[in-house]
Amino acid sequence: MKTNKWYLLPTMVVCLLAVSCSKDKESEDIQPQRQSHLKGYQSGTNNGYFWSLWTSDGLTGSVNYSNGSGGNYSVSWNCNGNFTCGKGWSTGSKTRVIGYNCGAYTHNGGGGSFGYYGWCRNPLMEYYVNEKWGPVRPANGSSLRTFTSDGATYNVYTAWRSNAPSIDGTQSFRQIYSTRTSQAPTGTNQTITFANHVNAWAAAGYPLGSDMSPAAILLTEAWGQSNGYVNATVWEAGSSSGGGSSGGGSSSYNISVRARGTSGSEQIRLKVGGTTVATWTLRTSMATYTASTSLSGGILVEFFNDASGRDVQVDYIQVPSGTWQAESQSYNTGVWNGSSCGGSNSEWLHCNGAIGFPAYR
Amino acid sequence: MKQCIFFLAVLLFPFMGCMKKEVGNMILVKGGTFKNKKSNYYEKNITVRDFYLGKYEVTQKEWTEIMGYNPSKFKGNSLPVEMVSWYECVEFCNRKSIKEGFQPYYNIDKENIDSVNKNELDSIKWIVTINPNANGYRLPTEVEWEYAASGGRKSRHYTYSGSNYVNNVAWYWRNSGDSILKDYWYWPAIEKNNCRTKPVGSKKSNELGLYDMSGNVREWCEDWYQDYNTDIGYYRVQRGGGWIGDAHACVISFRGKFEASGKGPDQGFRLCRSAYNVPKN
Repeated sequence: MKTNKWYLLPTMVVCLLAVSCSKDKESEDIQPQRQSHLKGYQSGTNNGYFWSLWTSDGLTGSVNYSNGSGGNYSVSWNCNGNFTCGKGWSTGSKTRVIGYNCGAYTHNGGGGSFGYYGWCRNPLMEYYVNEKWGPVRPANGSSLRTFTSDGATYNVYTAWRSNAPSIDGTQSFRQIYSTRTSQAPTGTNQTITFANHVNAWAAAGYPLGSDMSPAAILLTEAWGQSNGYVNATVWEAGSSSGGGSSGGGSSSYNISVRARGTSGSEQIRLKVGGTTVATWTLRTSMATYTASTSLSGGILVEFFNDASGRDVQVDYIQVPSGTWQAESQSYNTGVWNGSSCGGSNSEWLHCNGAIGFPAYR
Repeated sequence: MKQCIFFLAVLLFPFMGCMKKEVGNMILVKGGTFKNKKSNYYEKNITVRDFYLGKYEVTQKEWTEIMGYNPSKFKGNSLPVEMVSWYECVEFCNRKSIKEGFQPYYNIDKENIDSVNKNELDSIKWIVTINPNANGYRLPTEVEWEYAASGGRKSRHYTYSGSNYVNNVAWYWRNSGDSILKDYWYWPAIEKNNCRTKPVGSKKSNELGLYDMSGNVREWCEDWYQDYNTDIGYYRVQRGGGWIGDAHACVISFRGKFEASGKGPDQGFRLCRSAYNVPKN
């Protein structure tokens, strides 16, 4: 997230090329260690995982990176400069679920973070999911969006990198990243359902590029005068059902509706793109009702059995990219406006009618 | 036989005198349809009109004479100018036109913001419109650029401009430094190898006598970049690849894009002038 980090672009392009075109160059089980006046880049495969270590021009001090068993790696450093390292995959994926366990994390001074990181092309973008960080939480301006994934809350940020060298020549590209509102715990297994981030970024107006072939790693990065130690293990924890940012084929995703009825007899339908996905009878206390669908289109929560004493209150709906509050929606055909039914920005459906939410897909 | 040749010469004389094939360092590119089968416009029913195109990329000497400053990262009179934005290039065209007695091709409004320009990075956003009948210097359109790069009427269907072998015609990341780089594209290695721009015209020309249409510096074109997922208003077209990029960018059909305010040590341009409907001085 450092502002002059243009060099990571070629780094990751190299990751791709190094793996796809120059397999003979890959080094197996290398334990790279960099001492003072470091410069350069190393990558390879270890136990089937892609790994890389990059150090900035002019970095002084020490960065000791070691590949461990399976997807484990450790790095200790005491340096002045920028480095990135980590283990992961030679190609990215919009649907990968990343499993990891960060067994130790110490980061003093400077800046930098720990998380999932990679590049995509068409358009060229650099992405991060920041799980832990040093003295400074990675952020840029105000959050574009807030969403939940894997039990954590994330903010979305974006920034431009201008006029940086790339395999296409000088280019400018966008950085997009999610940062947890509080750091992930140390020593427990965690997952990153990357599709949730992809979808949140798309919903914020920044869909990832179509070419996910560049590498993606569980990253440790530091810059400035810093020291620290990280020991982490990464693994593939499956593929999410959320699909890509758009046109995710037939993969399904969940929609949860939090609602209640005043009498306990109210029934609502969940419609996606005009098709009923689920029908529920509501309790009198707020509860969450979940359905799975692969449909695309606008989402409607429709109250359809109105009678005396029956009203429906909808708190929000949740889709993989985030939460939509009912009172924030302009489409509401069931709220009583004092003389008839229909209005906007209300949790209530007093008459048969629906609250409309934006399409997730 | 001699009589016959004389007769032909008399017949052709009036046409031969109409347009010079080369004026200064500008080469007359005779119009027509795209012959190069590797072009994006092959068999697309596009006809290009005659135009003059710079034999070389604009050099730092030419730039400095007109603009009074040299923004280039790598200094040298015969090196192509680089680190120039699209805006600076159209301004250069107008200044050069005025200096040489041509009609400025561009109207440049620096006071108002171009509402068409939606690029977040572009803080300049001048409103630039054209005088289509002006005889002054301008940037080539993308179609003109590709027509010329692909060899025009004389095309031999090359992949790169003037050859099927990139090393014959283009300076790019592998061959633009102290030694030939192998393996994969890797910026720190390119920097360490002192890769850089090269004097214009130091590789083989293409079928039309144009140099460095592939490689050395990328060349601004006049148009907004547009494709199936990019609307106008975000990028200007740049073509030909440069010393930083890989060979794929030097292919005649590769379409590059860059925000109009963007600058890079591999971003330059080439001059163009209309050769049709030019009012007489």
